[in-house]
Amino acid sequence: MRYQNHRQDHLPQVPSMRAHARAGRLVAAAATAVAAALLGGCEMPIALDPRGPAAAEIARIWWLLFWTAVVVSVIVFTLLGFAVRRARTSARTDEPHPTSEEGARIDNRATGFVLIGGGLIPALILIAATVLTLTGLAVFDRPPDGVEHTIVVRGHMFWWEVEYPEHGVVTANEIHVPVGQPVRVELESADVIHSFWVPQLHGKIEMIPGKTNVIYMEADEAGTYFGKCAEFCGRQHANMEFLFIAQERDEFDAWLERQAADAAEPTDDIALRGRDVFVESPCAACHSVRGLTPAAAEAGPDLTHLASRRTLAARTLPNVPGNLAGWILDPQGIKPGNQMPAVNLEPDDFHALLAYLGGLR
Amino acid sequence: MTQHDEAQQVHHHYGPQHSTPREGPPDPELLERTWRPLPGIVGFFTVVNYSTVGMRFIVTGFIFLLLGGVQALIMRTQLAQPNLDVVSAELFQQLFSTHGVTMMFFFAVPMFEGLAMYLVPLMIGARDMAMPRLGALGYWLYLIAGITLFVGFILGVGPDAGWFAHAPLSSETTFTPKLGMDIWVTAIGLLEISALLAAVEIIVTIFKCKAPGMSMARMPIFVWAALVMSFMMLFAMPAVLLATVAVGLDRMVGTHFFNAAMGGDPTLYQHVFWFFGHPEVYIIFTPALGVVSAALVTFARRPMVAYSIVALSFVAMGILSFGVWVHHFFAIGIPPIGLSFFAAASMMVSIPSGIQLAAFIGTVWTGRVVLNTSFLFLIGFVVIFVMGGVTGVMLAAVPFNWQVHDSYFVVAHLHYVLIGGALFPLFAGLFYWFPKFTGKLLNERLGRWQFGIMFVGFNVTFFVQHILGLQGMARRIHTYDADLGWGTFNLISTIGSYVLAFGILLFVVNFVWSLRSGRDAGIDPWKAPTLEWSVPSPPPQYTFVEPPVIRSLYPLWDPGESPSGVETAADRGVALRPQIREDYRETFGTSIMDGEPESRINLRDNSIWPVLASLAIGIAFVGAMFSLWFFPIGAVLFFLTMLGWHWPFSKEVAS
Amino acid sequence: MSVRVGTPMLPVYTLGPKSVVWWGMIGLIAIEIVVFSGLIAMYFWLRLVNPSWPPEGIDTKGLLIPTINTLVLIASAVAMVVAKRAIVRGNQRVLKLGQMVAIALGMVFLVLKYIEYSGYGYDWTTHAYGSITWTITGFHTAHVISVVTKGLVVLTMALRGMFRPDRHLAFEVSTLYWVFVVVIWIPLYFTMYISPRL
Ligand code: HEA
Ligand code: HEA
Ligand code: HEC
Ligand code: CUA
Ligand SMILES: [Cu+2]
Repeated sequence: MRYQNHRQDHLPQVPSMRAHARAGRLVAAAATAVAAALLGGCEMPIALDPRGPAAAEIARIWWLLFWTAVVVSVIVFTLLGFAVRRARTSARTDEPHPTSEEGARIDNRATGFVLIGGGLIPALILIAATVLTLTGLAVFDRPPDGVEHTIVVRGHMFWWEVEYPEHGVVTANEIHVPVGQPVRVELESADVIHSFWVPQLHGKIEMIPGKTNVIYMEADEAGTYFGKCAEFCGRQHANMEFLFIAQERDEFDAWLERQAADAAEPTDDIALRGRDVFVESPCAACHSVRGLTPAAAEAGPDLTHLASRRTLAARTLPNVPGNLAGWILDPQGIKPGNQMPAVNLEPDDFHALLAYLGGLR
Repeated sequence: MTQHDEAQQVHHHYGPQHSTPREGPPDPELLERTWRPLPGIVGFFTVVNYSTVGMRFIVTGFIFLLLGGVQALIMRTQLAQPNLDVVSAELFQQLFSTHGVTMMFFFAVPMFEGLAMYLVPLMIGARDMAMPRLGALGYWLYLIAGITLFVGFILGVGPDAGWFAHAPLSSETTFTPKLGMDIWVTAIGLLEISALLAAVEIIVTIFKCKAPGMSMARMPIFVWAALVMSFMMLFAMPAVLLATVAVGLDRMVGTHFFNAAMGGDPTLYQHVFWFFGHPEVYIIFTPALGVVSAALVTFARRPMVAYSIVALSFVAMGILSFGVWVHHFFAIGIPPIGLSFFAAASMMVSIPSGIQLAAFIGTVWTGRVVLNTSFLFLIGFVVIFVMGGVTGVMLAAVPFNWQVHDSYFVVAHLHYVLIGGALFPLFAGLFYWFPKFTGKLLNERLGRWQFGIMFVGFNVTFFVQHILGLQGMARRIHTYDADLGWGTFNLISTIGSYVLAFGILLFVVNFVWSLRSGRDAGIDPWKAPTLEWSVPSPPPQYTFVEPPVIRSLYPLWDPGESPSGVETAADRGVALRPQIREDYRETFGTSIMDGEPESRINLRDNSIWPVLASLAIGIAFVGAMFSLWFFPIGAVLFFLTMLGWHWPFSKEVAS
Repeated sequence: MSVRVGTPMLPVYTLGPKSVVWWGMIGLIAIEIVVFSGLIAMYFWLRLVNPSWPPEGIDTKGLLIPTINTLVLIASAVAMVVAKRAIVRGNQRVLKLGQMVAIALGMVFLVLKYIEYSGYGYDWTTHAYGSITWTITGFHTAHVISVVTKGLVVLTMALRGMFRPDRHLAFEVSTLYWVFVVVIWIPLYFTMYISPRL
């Protein structure tokens, strides 16, 4: 990929891990340290470092399961080790085997071990695990209190359409929510199956054509969380990511208000010309700019407040002017197989268009 | 036709219906002549003997393991570091899809089918499978399917929607316009037919061809495993056939099974596919357990403890595994009641595994272990499989599943159970039976190195993938950004995969070297208990000079001189032995439960029709990718080959 | 080794559960039962997810032809069973007659099916309803075609006098399969024609 060098450092960072609480926990944390050292302070979307009640509940379940698994494995390995050692010390290769009758006598004792050690005890553990699962499930069963906002997220090959129907806001690849308050997220798909996943906040749930799934998301802490499409959906499945941004209440409200507004009027001539270019070029066939184009175009992300977004093309590029230009010139080079074609523009038109898009705050 | 001609005809097919038992000692030369394949190239296409066909399955399966492994290495290379560009996104998708398809359908299943075909007749004391030509047909179909898959892959149109190809991505040509998914449909369709044929053949053989005296309770555990595997195939494979056909129809003739806009439903696909998909993994795992049991008994030098409980646990696992398919798509939005049921069922499916492992440990505990390469692989199996099994239990806990579903945590789980639960047992089995297959022993030193390197390489490769999954790395991504911090563990994983591959390479070396200059194995290098170790290595085409009569579970350890309980016809075996003719391909037909002799089964001779029939089916399936007219054409051709297959029909005539 | 001269030899030719071919046929039938059950399950699943079934605008014709057809098919199975019984008793005439009648009825079924389906104003591309019903019908019709074809082969054998009371394995398994193809139609008939009216 040509723009790769760009990609490396400019992406918005996901928030740093709370250093204290879970620092001791397992390898994940150790891994963070290693990775952090190598990558200069970047952080990972670690599921076991939850920032919301749902992910926290899941992490709780995980730790119980994990320790059970460790105990079970250790017991099995120990038994196996002893068995081999025991059998070895009495072993001379080619030792004659016991006859069936002899075998049968030992068998009676061994059968008890098999039934109890292999059947009963695991069954009890598994029943406990089932109870754990079911109680866990019950937590997810009831919608949380205090839901104020509903967000509709629609998966497209390979980007996310994000709608706040109560506020007339449509945006893309970036979901803003108020911190500490659950939101209702309705998940749909425009084409194939995608899957909505913010590891630090919640498990994933799929976006299926013809079906609406609902999930309640809540972030305990302000920050930017990494989100990803998890179900394979085609060529650019890897680059179908998004940012889940939890903001303080007033910040969020301000954001929502800005997004609800129509597109900014261009102030200078170049941008004005760019606006015309946009309307006349094929761009407008796929992209809407509220207040400028009729709202019909849904094949591509809504661009009304493009410049306010942090990334381009579903977290493929940081949204800086150079990248925007690169994207429009060669979307297929940057994100091969995505649904946006390269559009031929005169250099002047192109610069005007860039100026216009750059002003869409 | 005159009476006389008819009598001749019958004679030709069956030998005389009534005759007196043969007198005198057996005549191996006559047997040799009766069972000989035709010479030369004609022979290559006409052999139907179980050992040849079984070995072909095994060798071909191994080649697919290497091919799928090389694909995996390319994937690992691409993922070694962030933002690498070793392969394109497009190629990467074909790589993981073809890797998954190859490993699941073209390596694991046929490999164990082949082992079963080779070993079941030997272990139950039959001269051949019940329907040898069916086995040959199955092999040719498998070969055609595999060639189709890899020709497609090499031409740049491999399948590209993952091994389970969820609709509508797989079923709409707007989303997957290339031929790749049509190839997926064709290759899997052919392979399923092949597997179904093998399943029927193995079941019928185990039902009807056990040596006199081999009751169900005297069947070696491996045979139980083969039986359970075959039954699972019988009930599971039709579902994937349906899934593939429906995808094929949606793509090729415009039906709307999975098109939500036209009344179809994408989640329907997942139900149909995974109704097969989950049993599929146990179809792979069950025979592997059978291999484990066989080698374990020999090298722990004692009979399996709790034999009947273990046999029952196989059956239980087979049945339970049909009730858990939903755990592969807990995240599609299922009502809580459904989630609870399938979570609980998925937990319970672990109980039979617990019993099996306890029985293995119990057997070792009370035995006297021969710690050779084969046994090392058994230890490797237990260690790795348990780790994979417990992550399976975690995955069954729904809320946690939501978190790690479709992430590298699942990739780690599936490799732990598949490599731990199938590949390691397979190597244990290969070290165990290679002497029987070839007459040579594999080199132990190389074997131990192979085990050590594979064990370390495997864990290095896949252990870290659990962590990657928990760190948010989704599966099936061709690249990732540096700032996500996944680079280090991916690099470790990639290095591990090369180590693992080196281990497998050592086996290839060992194989070639031992074949040429390995130590001679003799008939029974391990002093093993089951019948296959009573015949020369490799076994002659006719297998047993004297068809054996069975009086115990471990006939070579414990001939069971004094038949206990009620005396059956089989216990009068001495009188039965000379019945089986040597100038015709015959074996005993016995009753299902008790192994009471009922008939002499006339086995089929060399025949060209299996390969021709497979070509007819191949034309129908492969051609259908390009024009649906090939389907009726193939059907007519198939009918013609079936006429030839059954020609001259005169077997019904009485003398 | 002592050979007890005069021990009766086991038979080479067997019928029913003693024969491997019979078991092979049972295996095939088991597989097909799973396939048909799967199709029925798919049918009901699609019905479940669709608000109206059959969907608006799709006109399913009356019950008359399919019901007659079902009876025709059942009659053909009866003919096969009668023929099978006849050969056990050594009655060659009824054997041949029964097979001929069964083939004829099978063909009547196919013709009626053709008439029925050519009257439909929808096909498999119209809606998932069309997809599943045409697939089930097509798949089952292919089975009828195959048993009729196979019936012709078996009939030739019967005409050449190849079946005897104690040896008619080909006829036995052919009957088995025929009966299966007929019996499996009955749930399909209920699924496709009766269930939407309930
Ligand atoms: C050989 C193959 C094999 C085997 C044996 C298993 C065994 C199990 N599997 Fe696995 N599985 C796969 C192959 C296999 N699996 C594959 C290939 C996939 C992914 C497919 C894909 O998406 O591509 C998958 C995916 C998969 C999922 C879906 C993950 C997802 O996509 O979200 C789940 C969820 O429940 C699951 C569960 C289990 C369970 C509970 C078992 C149990 O049977 C395990 C039982 C064994 C043990 C538990 C260990 C031994 C037992 C004891 C020592 C007794 C004591 C134990 C306890 C008390 C815990 N598996
Ligand atoms: C039995 C099954 C099986 C086996 C044995 C393997 C073996 C391996 N797999 Fe496989 N894997 C699957 C089944 C299996 N896999 C499945 C079902 C999937 C899911 C697919 C999907 O998502 O659709 C998967 C997916 C999968 C992924 C995830 C891809 C993704 O989601 O993007 C990865 C990535 O690391 C991977 C890696 C490996 C590696 C490194 C091995 C190693 O074990 C390979 C070891 C190496 C070799 C076997 C090569 C040996 C060859 C030589 C030494 C050269 C000699 C050559 C000649 C003589 C010609 N596999
Ligand atoms: C055929 C439809 C189509 C046309 C024409 C088209 N685009 Fe796009 N555009 C898309 C799609 C689809 C995406 C999302 C790509 C992705 O992320 O996978 C996109 C993404 C973008 C983005 C990134 C948006 C974001 O929020 O990340 C910008 C900016 C953009 N297009 C600008 C343009 C401009 C300017 C033109 C005209 C020169 C244009 N597009 C023409 C379909 C189109
Ligand atoms: Cu969308 Cu993956
Ligand atoms: Cu499963």
